Amino acid sequence: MGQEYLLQVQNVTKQYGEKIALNDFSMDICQGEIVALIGENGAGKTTLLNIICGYCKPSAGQVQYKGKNIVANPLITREFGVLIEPQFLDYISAEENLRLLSQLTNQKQDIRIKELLEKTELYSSRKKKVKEFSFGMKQRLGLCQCLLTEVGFLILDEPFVGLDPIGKELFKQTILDMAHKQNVPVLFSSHDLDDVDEICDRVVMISKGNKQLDQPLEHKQTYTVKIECTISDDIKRSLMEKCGELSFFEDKIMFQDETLIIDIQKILLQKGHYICGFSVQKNNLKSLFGMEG
Amino acid sequence: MNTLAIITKIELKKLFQRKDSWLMFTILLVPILYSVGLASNSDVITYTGAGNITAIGFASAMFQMSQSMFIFNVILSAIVGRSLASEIENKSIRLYVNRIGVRKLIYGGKELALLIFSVFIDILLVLTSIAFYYAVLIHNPKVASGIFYDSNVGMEIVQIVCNCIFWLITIFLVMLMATKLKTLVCVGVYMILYIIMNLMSYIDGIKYLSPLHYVVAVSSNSPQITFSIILFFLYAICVGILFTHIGIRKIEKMDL
Repeated sequence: MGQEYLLQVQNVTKQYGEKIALNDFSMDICQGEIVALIGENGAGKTTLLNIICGYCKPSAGQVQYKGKNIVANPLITREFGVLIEPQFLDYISAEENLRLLSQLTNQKQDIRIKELLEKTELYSSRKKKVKEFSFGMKQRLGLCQCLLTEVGFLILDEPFVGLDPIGKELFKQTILDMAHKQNVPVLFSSHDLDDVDEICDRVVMISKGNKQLDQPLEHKQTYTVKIECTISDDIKRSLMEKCGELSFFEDKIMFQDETLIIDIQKILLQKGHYICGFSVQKNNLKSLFGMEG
Repeated sequence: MNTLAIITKIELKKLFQRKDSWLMFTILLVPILYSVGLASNSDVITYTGAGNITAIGFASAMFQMSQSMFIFNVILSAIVGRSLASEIENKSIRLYVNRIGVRKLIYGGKELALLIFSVFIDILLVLTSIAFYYAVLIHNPKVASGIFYDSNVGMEIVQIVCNCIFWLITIFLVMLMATKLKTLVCVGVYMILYIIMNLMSYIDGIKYLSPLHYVVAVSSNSPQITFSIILFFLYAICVGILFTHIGIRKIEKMDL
C-alpha cells in the first residue's frame, strides 16, 4: 500500500531575477512525520518554507496540501502553524499579540493563551511590550503564535536558534508531541545536526537550491566500530580482501558490522600489529556526513 | 463577524495603539489655537472673512486651513505608509497571511480602517471647531456671529466633505504606493505628487486630473460649483476603485 502524502512539493522552482533560489525541487511529507531541512546558508531552505506557507509564489511547480494547490486555495494554509522569523507588533504586549491573533480566527482563546504562555514560561512577562523581549523570548512567543489555533501542519524555520537549553528542550518536546501524539507532520530547518538527529525521522538536504539528499534516519539504531592501530597499505589490502566494507581514516579502521572484530583482530595479529584503541559509537548525522573522525 | 470586519477592527486598534497615529490628532490644535488667538485679539492671528462667521462656517474654514497646512497630509501619508509598507518590509504582515489566506481582505481591511480613522479625525475636527467656536470664539463678536449656521450652510458642508474626500484620496494613493515603496519613500513621493497636483490645478486642460483643483473650486464660489462637486465625487469614486483594485492585484502577486 502506497503512503498517503499530506504535503507534496512538486518540481518547485523559485527565481529572483537571474538568481535561482530553488531549482526543480520536489519532496513529500506524510502524516506525523518530522522532516528536517538542512543545508548551508542561502541554500534555499527558507525560500522553500516561504513557498509552502504561501508567503512566496513559486516561479514554476506547485505545492499541494491535502491534494489542493496552495496558490489556488490559499485558505488551506490556515491550518499551518508557522514559525518563520517570528513577527509581532512590538508596541503591544505579548498577551495582546496573542489575543489579536486569536481575534483573527474569531475565537475567544483566553484559556489557551494562558496555557501557552505558561508552557513557554512567558506568563510572568505577558504584560511586557514585545520590543522589550530578548530574541529567545520572541522565539518562545513565536511558538505560542504557532500553536494558538489547532494546527494541521507545523512549519518551523531554525526554531532552536537563540534558545537556552530549557527552551530548546521545550521546542523539541513540542515537536515530538505534535508529531507522535497528535499525528501532525512537522517540517523544520536547522543547522544543528545534533538537534536534527535527535528528533527527526527524515532529513532533506538542500544545496544551492537543489535537493542533495532525502533519506530516513535509519542510522539511529546503528553503530560504528572504530579500531585504532598502525595501518600500512599491506594491512589495508588484506583487511579489504577478507572483511569487505571497511573505511579508513588516519590510524583508524571503521566498520558497521561488529562481527568483523574477530577477523580484523586475527589479520592484525598475523601481520604483527596490535590494537591500540577500540570504541563503539552510535551513528548520527555527523558521522553520516563524515563530520566526525 | 466576517473576516474583513475583523481585520478592520484589528487595524483600527493598531492605529490607535501606535503613537505616530496620535500625531494626526494635532490637527485639532488648528481650531483651538485659531479660536483662542481670535478671541484674545492676538496680532498673529487675524480674520479677514466677509461678515461674522457661523459655527459651521468656522468648522469649514478650519478644514481649509488644515488642508493648506500641508503637514497633516504628510502625517497622514506616513501613517498610511507605515500601516502597509512597514508591515511588508518587516514582514509583520505575515501575521495575517496564514490566518486569513485571502490577501485582498488584508489590503481591504487595512484600507477600510484607515478610511474610518480619517473620517473619525474629520468628525473630531468638526466637533472641536464647533466646541471652541461656542466656548472661546463667541467672546469676539467682531468675528463670531454666535449662530450655528446661516444660508451658506449647504456650501460650507460641501466644503468640509470635499476636504475629507481629499484625505481619502490621499489614503487610496499612498496605500497603492505602499505595496511597492518603503514608508519614507512613500511620504517623499507623496510630497512630490502633492506639489505636482497643486501645479496641475492651475493649468487649463489637465487641472481636472488634480483633486486639489476640485478642493479649490468648491471653496471659491465659482458659477460652475455644482458641476465641480459632482465631478469631484465621481473622481474620488473612480480613483478609490481603481487604486484599490491595482493595490489588491499587486499584493496578491507579491512575495511577502
